Amino acid sequence: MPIFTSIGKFTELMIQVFTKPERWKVYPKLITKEMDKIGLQSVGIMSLLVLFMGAVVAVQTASNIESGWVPRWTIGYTTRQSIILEFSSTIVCLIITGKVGSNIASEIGTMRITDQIDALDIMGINSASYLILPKIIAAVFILPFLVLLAMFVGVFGGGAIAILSGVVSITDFEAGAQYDFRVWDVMYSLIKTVFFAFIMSSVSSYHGYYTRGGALEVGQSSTRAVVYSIIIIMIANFLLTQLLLL
Amino acid sequence: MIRLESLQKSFGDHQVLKGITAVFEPGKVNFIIGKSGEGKSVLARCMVGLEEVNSGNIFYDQAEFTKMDRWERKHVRKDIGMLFQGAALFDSMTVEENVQFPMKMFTTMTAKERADKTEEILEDVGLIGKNKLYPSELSGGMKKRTGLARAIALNPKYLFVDEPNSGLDPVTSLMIDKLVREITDRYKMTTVVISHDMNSVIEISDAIFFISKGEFVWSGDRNSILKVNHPLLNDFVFASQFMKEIREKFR
Repeated sequence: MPIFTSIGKFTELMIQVFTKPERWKVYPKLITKEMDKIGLQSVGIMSLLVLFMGAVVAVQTASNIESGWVPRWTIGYTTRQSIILEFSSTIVCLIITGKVGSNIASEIGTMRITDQIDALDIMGINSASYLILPKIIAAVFILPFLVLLAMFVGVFGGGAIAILSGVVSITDFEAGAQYDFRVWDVMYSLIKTVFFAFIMSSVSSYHGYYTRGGALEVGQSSTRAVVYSIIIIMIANFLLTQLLLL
Repeated sequence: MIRLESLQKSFGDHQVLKGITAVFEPGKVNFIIGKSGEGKSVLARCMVGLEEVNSGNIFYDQAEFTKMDRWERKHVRKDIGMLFQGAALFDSMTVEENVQFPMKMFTTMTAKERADKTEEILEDVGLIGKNKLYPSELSGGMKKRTGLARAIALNPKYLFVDEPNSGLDPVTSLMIDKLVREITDRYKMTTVVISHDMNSVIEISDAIFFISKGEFVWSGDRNSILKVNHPLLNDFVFASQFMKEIREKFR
């Protein structure tokens, strides 16, 4: 069964990745570089998307409140809960997967087809650890910060747009955004993010590392990396939600 | 010295190497020649441990490479340098960083010592002043020279060179050939060149191994290769009109 072969190969690769590297000293620089590529270079696009996500949630909630029995502060409450529980972690990680996952797979895939990985292996360097470990550590470390930023931008930026466009008053939105706030919701989202970051970086690296062929195959690996990462993230999202919220 | 004993390698039902036995002497440029698809590259990949053989032994001096695990092989690998067909330079690093990479990973040299050593090696390969260029800014010949510089950065005992002249003009090819020769002589390395370029063979080889259908069917030197009467080898060596004319002159 190809799926079991893939799981076996993935496990084997991860064991190689987490084997003691040749020289720890070179890793901090590599990890910092990856944090910049995975995290900081995604701040702009992530902020823009989550800003409008927050605004859309606020406007949609406002448009669905027809009954006078439902208070207007529900708009702020719904926006905050949607952004914190789901949009900031899952959707942001899916966006990052599209941007960074394909980049990771194509970078490692190109190194594979141009013999750069073989060159590392011949030198006696654990190529899997050298290339993949910094990406995993960087993603797992930086994505929770990105998600925290997304929560802030999504709730307050989205709210600001909704207030400016007149769908809700500042008082109502503020009251809703503060109503029944639980720190656990933020924690839940951050725990999910750590898992998603690992899935995104490791699955994308796996597809890049086992690329065979030429430029066409690098493109295919890149597409596969994104598709499989998204599927696994969505399955993990369901399982983690069951585990953490019920 | 590198010694191969009855190497066999198969991919599924297809047997690529069928009992290769050979000795590659130190201080010599050993050529493995043969047509495309006869097993040259697979043999080279098996010798450096990128592929595992199904049976047979590979010895680096007295060390039995085939019996070693990954960690034991690391010690042998530090003595192996390889120039790949496409040079395999790290795209994100400059010429200087590429050359310094093995030093950073495996030595305790200071930044100053690394810089001095890099200058020395770049001078050897004729790349002085190109330190800060990235691989994308280099010509084919310069890439090969950088690859060679990186391969010899740790003064390896064994040098593997895969198709050194592919994609190069005749003048640059000759320059790379001479560089391989000079480096082999200077550092007394055991050099193994995988090639089908007869100009290189005639120019710099000490020992030649002709591979056909996964077996060494002939071995000798550059003088005997032009005189020997071996149908398979003759078809390969004298495939071009130029080489046919040389043969006529020899006769």
